[in-house]
Amino acid sequence: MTSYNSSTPSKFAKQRGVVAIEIALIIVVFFTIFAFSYQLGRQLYWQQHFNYASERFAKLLVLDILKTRKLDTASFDEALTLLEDKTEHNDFEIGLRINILSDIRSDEQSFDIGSGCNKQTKYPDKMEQLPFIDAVKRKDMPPRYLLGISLCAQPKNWQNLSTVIDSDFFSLPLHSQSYYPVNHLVFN
Amino acid sequence: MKLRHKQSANIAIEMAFILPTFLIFLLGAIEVNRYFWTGYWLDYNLYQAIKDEAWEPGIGVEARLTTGLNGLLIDTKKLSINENTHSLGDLLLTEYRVSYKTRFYFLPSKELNFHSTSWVGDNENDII
Repeated sequence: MTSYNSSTPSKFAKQRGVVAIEIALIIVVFFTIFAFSYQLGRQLYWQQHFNYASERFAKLLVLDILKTRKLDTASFDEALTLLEDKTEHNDFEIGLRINILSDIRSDEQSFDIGSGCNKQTKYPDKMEQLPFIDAVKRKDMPPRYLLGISLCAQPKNWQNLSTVIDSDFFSLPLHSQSYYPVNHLVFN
Repeated sequence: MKLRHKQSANIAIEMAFILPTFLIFLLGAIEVNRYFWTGYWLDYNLYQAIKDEAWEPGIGVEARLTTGLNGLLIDTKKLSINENTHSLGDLLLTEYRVSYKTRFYFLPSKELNFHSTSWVGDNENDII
């Protein structure tokens, strides 16, 4: 009876300690899963949001180029202003990287407008990086021109998960690239 | 016997802590998912409606959007659509801005406003 009384409190205290550790661990695990899901969710959501916007603007800018028959940088500025105003999120710095790809190398251009594009991307910025028609077949065809528009969005206060998880998907800024063919007559 | 009672009490206390925590996280996860779900489908359907309208004008963006959002846990009666015009170089754009207000039970204000914006150009089919 004496030994029972003396050992019970210490045993009980140990059990309480175990319970406390267990609860703390479970809360940490829940919180980590929750935070990761949240980050993944917003990354996917904003990535998609900017994909739609870049695809829309690539097409609209090409339409403008075809209409005016000239490459006017003022149109790109207007596109950037519209995108900045309508992102619905004040925490993004938006930038556009414009690539004109052509079979005529001297006509190829790349330039950035706005802030936000601070990452080198794997998207092609030279026609030779797009080998879909070989040189022989192209002999009697007019030169090809493509407008490549890369929308870059740099969010503030986001944990850059690419430092934790080695994946390009989680790297910042978010990038969305669209290409559209431009009629060669615009450049002649 | 006394020890067993104390153990049962311990388990009960543990359960009392864990169960509400678990339920809060579970319901919170459902609400966060609903947040992204709503934003995703609103964005996607507006984008599709704009593309379809540009391709084959006539039905209207609002009707296409409402049709697309049917059955996606979004109350289409609460949608509001504003139209504005902007210029992009020589091109005239019609901007469609969709707003949708919905309740979220885990937020102090309980209601969140979703917005999605997209643009359609004049005679977009000229590009083809």
